[in-house]
Amino acid sequence: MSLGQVLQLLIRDRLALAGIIIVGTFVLVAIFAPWIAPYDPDQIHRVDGRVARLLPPSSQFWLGTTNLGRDVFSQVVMGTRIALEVGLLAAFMVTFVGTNVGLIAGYFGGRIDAFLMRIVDILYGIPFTPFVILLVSLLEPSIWNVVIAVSLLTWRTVARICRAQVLSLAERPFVKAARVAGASHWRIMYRHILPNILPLALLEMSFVVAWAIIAEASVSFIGFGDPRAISWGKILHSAFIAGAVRTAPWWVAPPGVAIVLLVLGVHFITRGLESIVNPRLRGE
Amino acid sequence: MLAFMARRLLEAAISLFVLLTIVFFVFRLLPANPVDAMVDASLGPEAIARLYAEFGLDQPLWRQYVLYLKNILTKGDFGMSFFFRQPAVDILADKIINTLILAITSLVIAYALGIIWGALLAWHRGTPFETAGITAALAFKAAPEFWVGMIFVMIFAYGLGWFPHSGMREPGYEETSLFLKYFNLDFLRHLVLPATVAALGSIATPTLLMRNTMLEVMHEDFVELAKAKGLSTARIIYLHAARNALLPVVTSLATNLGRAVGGMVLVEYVFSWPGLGREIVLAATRYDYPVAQAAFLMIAAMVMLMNIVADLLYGYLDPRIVYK
Amino acid sequence: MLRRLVTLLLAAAVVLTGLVTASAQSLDPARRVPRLVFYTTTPQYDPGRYEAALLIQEAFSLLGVDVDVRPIDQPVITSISRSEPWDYDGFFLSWGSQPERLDPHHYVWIFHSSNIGHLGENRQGFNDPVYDAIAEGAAVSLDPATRREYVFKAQEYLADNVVVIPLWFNHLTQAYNRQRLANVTPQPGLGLFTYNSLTRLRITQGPNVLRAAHRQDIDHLNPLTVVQNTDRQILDLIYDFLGRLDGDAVVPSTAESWRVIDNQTVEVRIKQGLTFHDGRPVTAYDVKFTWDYGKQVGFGRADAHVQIVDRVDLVDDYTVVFHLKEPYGAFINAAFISVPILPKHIWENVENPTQWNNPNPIGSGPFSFGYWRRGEELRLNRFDGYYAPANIDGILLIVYANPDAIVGAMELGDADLVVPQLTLEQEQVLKEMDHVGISYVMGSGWTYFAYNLRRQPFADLAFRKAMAHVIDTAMITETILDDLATPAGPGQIVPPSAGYWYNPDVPRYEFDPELARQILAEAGYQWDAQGRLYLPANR
Repeated sequence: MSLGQVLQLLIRDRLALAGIIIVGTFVLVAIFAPWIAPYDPDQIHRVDGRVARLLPPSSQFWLGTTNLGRDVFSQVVMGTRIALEVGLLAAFMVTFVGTNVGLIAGYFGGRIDAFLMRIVDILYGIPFTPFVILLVSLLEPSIWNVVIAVSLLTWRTVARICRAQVLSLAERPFVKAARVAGASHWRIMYRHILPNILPLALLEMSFVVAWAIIAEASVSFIGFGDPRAISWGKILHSAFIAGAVRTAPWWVAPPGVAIVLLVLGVHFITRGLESIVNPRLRGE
Repeated sequence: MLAFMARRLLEAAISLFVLLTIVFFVFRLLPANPVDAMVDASLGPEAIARLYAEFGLDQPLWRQYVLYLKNILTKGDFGMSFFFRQPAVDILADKIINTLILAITSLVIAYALGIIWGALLAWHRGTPFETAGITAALAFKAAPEFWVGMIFVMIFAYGLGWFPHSGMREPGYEETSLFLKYFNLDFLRHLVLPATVAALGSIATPTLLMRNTMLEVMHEDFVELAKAKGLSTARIIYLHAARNALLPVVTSLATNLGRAVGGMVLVEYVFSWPGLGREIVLAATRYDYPVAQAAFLMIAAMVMLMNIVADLLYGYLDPRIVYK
Repeated sequence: MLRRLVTLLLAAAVVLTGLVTASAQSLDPARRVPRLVFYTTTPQYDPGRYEAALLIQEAFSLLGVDVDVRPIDQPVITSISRSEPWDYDGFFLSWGSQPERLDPHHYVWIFHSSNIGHLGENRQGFNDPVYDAIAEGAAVSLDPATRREYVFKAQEYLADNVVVIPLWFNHLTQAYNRQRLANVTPQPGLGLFTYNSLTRLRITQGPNVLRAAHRQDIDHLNPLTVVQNTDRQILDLIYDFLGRLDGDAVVPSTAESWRVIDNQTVEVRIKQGLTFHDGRPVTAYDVKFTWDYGKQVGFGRADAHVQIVDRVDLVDDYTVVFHLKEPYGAFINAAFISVPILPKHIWENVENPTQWNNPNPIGSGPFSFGYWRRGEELRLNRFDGYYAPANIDGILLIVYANPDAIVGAMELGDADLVVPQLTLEQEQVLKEMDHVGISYVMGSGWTYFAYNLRRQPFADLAFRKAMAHVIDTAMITETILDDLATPAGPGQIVPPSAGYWYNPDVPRYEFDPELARQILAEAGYQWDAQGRLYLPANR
């Protein structure tokens, strides 16, 4: 199935379409963020000579200010970039590694398969959040390290699922025919099998996008995120440690709402992809 | 069956061993060493050198590794906490049960609500109610647990004052038997918010799974026919379908037990719930690496144990599975 | 025609290139001040220091210097700044409020050249024989008036030479329940959760137990190894000391009286009838044991005060004589109040004292150890055998995880006192509550910006002076902490709370970027077309 066909099918699903629109909007916001944000998110604002601390939403500051007089709206807008960066980076890395491992393991079978799946099994025993926290606390806090930490474990699911699909495909007639015709292993894997697991790979990828965005927000919330990057998790972190949960709902609500909307959009797309991959669910 | 158990346990043991090694070396790559975390301005160079020697940090790496393995495997000794000056295990031992209680309670709530909700959605297939319901379930999945926790604390603790905002019990409680420590109203009141928040975080899976499996069980014609025949018959068929759809959902609960145990970290952090998850965050922040190591390995061990339990339950619940 | 045009264009190109290369060549790129690296704490650990670093980064851009602010863990900052090869340009740290820091010795002695070296406290590498002489004069003088002269001179000298820039003096802003607590007497430099305040405190209604809210739980209660602040605060209540700080002066506590025999010898008489929490008497044997034992195994924070003693002579059951290795002016003010008296009958049987967590500490202080539920609460009970028993029955230290929870606890009346310094947000909210009172007291510590004097540009006095004129400590303090901290300035290392020792007349540096650039220009610094700073040719 080609990418175009997948897209066509997706658009027909109402929720998936909504998801595409939502995610698309966020992508646009991320691209044009510096122009959309009215102020520099780090700028400390003063009103009448005093720092504009914890001001509720007003015409000057649409979502109010933080405890150090920074504009919440600008911060939330700029935070879109990190969220999407992390989500997409992690998704690409994970899908790349996981799909390839699944392909190789499923196609070659035997010792290679056993070895690769043994690694995946061990990784399955590792609890996700504690591992990510440990790794990020040990590495220098940066976006890149968060992406690595998230990716190191997540590929296990992709590998396993792709492998299962490849196993069933490897016995199909068209594969056998290709082999008889003298095609090399790699050609069969990448020209013949891969396109058939493409919808599955995309599905897994969208899972990872959602997973990665929340993982980054969680890590930043605890305080292990990149302090120089403005992410939604970090905004919530600042609010939490400043003790603003009681007094500044305008600071606490918007970043969370942003995460919910973006990830919800991704979930809608995921559901749409699920019904393509599993045609039984389609046309209910 | 026995052979299967033995094999699974062996696999788990190997995994744990590999994990032990990974954790050991990962921790030794610290940019700072933990002695610096304890170094105070007034400690002179001799006092600092003494600290290094005390914690064996002046030994070559391979020797530290051998000692580490020996201690864990023969004595269950994960090392001394740098800060508490007590064995790491002692610090963590009583936290395990707190995490377990939170994980199991939230999972039970999530699945109980999810099953009902999923069945309702299947019944109202094709209506806006169903779309809204699916959206709601996915929205809860999309919402980060720590944020939901903050909002709940804002509304239900600070706002309405119905529940406490943090902790497991009121300070100053009189310590009695272990049983009474957990089975009292105060504890339950403190459990409500964190368990609910954690439950909402995992409610999407049982809801959607229940809905999907019910739809599979209920054939379209079957349901149309039942509806045409009259409501009461439809109800009976509905309940019959629900009962059949339960199996995959309950097995899903079993398989998610392990994940739940590892996934309590953020809820514990926001609510100051004294469990392993909170301990690992606190220890990691301070580079108290014996405690962070021990907490992580304990969580991993519990997860593996839960997965084995889940496999057994799975085999028991689903008669189609045969273990070789 | 075309030819003319081409030659004109060529000529223009040559001229332009000439101009460009001329302007570029006028400044040797090797002289350019490189991008400096400043280490500060993460916002989670201390948002104040983090924001201060960002503001100072801006200040440096006024001089044409680029700064890279790196937030790292506080222990790492400590490590990098104290250890070879001192690979840093600047860092941000803070001195906490401790009783012995009200005596100036600690702060003045830091900058003595003997403290330079691996793990030495003179992290910046300040090496100046003139200052050394001043610091030594302050260290050995036992006569307060003479000592004060030296201490004042030390502050002046450090300010003149812009050796370090304290940004603000820490305050202790603590909230308490006005309806329950009476006779609330905050101690200057120490606040409300300290010996004097807690022993004088009265509770007027409800249970006679003080519930103190804290952010940080204790780690362990071994006085030989304690590093953490909360541990220290609790140990100060469980153990007693030869002397205690009361306002400005040190008054006898376990000691009955003391007599300075000469500048290296002090005789101390112990009070009679004192007991430890287990009933055993406190005698001169315990005092001698404390110092001997401490010298042998190391006494953590108080190590210096113990190692300075050559020997302790036992005169009788209640009298000892301290013989110091060398004259040490702060012995009474600092050592007497920071070395807790250990019970000999317990510690002589301990096998591994520095590995021990002392689970049931026995001391002779006003409060005895009750129980500790890790991560939740710690209970102390009044010790009726103390010579000046407290009024309250006990103290319950409750650990809360975040500032909101503490405010919630105060609001509901679940807590009576907030121990850690309030954040601005907490103070704003708590101020409005009728039943809550707030105590505003200056602490005994300061938060500062320090820089590597071994390297350019900080090795150059002219640069440091210019820098002092662009770092507006008043603005920085007001932005970050409003009026919950007092702005400091270059060289102001003795906090105003030290009273007698505080020199109010050190040279100050007004915020004046113009003047700063002028100073730099006069010293031979230059700027290129992009405004970046270049060192003078002779550096």
